[in-house]
Amino acid sequence: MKSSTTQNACILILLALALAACGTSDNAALPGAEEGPQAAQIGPAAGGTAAAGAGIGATATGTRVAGAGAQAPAEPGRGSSGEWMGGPLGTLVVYFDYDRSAIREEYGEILQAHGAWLAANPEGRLRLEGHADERGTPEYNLALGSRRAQAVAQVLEALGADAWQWTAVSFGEEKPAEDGANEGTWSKNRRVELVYE
Amino acid sequence: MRMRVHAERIFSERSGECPAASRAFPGTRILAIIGATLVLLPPMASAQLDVVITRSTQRAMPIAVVPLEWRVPLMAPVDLARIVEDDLSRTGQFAPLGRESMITRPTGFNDMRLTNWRIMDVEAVVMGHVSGSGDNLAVEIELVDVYAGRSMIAYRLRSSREALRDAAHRIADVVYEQLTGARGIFSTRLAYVQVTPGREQFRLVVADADGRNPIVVLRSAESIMSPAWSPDGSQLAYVSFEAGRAEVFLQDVESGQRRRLSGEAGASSAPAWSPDGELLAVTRSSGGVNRDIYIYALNGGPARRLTRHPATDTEPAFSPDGAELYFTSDRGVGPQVYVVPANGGRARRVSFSGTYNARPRVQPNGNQLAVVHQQDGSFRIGLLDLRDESLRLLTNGPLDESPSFAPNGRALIFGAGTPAGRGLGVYFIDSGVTRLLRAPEGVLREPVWGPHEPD
Repeated sequence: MKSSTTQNACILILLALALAACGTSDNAALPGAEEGPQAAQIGPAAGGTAAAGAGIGATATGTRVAGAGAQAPAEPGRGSSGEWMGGPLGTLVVYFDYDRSAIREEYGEILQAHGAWLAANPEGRLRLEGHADERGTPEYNLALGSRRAQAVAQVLEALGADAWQWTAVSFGEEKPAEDGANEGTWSKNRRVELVYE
Repeated sequence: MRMRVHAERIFSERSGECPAASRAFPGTRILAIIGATLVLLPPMASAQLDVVITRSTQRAMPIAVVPLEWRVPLMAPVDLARIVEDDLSRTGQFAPLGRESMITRPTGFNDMRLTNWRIMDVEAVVMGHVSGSGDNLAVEIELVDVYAGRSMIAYRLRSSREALRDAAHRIADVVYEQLTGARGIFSTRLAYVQVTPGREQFRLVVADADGRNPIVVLRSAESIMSPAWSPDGSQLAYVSFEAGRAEVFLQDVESGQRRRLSGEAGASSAPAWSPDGELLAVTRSSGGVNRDIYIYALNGGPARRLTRHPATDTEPAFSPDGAELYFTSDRGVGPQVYVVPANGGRARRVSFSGTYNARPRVQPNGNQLAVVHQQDGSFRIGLLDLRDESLRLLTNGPLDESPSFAPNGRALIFGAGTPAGRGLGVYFIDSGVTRLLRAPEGVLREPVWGPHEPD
């Protein structure tokens, strides 16, 4: 994975800006706000997790694993024969804190890799699907999912992706990755899925 | 197969036990003949909703609903008095006398002994009979004030066999209005979203106010959100994800005909009708992500942008006079409720308690807002008094949402997220009683209470 200190510095500044954009509320630590899971490695192994949450609808990641190989050229994270490479490009889900759209620092390297890939592959197309957990009103969560997708898009653009390479859609709380009313489940539902098309 | 049944209701005033009756109870003199329209469909596959009491009442008025004498050859298909009794007792404002405690079963003021009811501490008695045959039935009812010793109202209602359940709800409406002064809501309808496991798991359902007679008006494999009744009760606006993103649709409830609100690009959601039914306020994403509120004239023409702010503005609701819109915005710290003139102008914040107040719905008298309030991680329904800015929490949470006022303003229905699961809650403001409606399978969400039947 190519990376330079300049790029690293860039992304840290970006993340800092994204965090600052949330202003004082970002550290207000609303009740129930906890750290989400670490960035999931969506590969064949993690595909099982995605499929387990298919009660409401198969997640994009689950679908993609099933279709392994067919879209290899248009998709990062796979080798020439369609096998998952792992690493930052194999990470297709970004998780968020409760009621936040700021991107956590741990996603710096991952988004940097996706941004660089999009810059190097102008034909690449990415759909960003924003989601929220079930807490709060459905319409407010629809807006929150939208803000999360937009936050990912802004970082990707700053890292080399072009505006026409991505589209954003929000499903709010309508398509949870997992069912259940606890922080462990909620933290997996507050997410943006990166779906290469 | 749809069948329309017309039920006519004819009121008559009881001749003169007490000349003051009609003055004391203005509802007594109802001269109009009311034509009602029912839509009867075969029952949907899923069973009825359960009704569970979740909190006991304070002081309820003791009443008696005497089983109606059935003077019809064919057996009664429903227990009319039981439906009336259930409607009234559900509000928590009435405590019906058990049938086993009724010494006699009179059918009217003239054949009842007041002392029989006074010794039971019953304050009001509903009684009557049903006559006729086939689909030409006459339901005659009398309501007696036991302590004043006089008839409050007597009336007759014509009904088909199939419409008897609706006739019972109308009786309950009249009794409720006589005894409380507020219009009854038992003949109204609800809409909600049911999510069940399996294919086409999202359903938009219309049901009677007691949760009975659920009718699926839309099935979809994709999410359905934010249903909203038109003020005349003929249409539902809602959000459907059938095209892969949130879009507002309008559907005629009876015919099932539907159309997309607009062909414009971008997501749209959170539809809200103006009181005259001519405008629809909608949240649209502009410039990709930022959500603002737009107003569509339903007879055509371009949308008018109402709010313009980099923060999220959503969940609009018109004030009862149509002059203002309340909405949720996170332009401050966390979501709060704001109000803006419907013609545009500066938005003013109206919620100040805590860090999360969202999804305002305006009480029909304009005095209070129902909101979703979050505190200590628990989401509860609150009543925000616009006159003094006080907030009163009504429900226990922890995941309550989507409050909607009954058209008389005396009850709220909401999405009840209890530790036992998600159902619909009905909160009665005058008694403080909450009732829970649950489906035998799946989750019920986003209820919205329909309007009164038009006069």
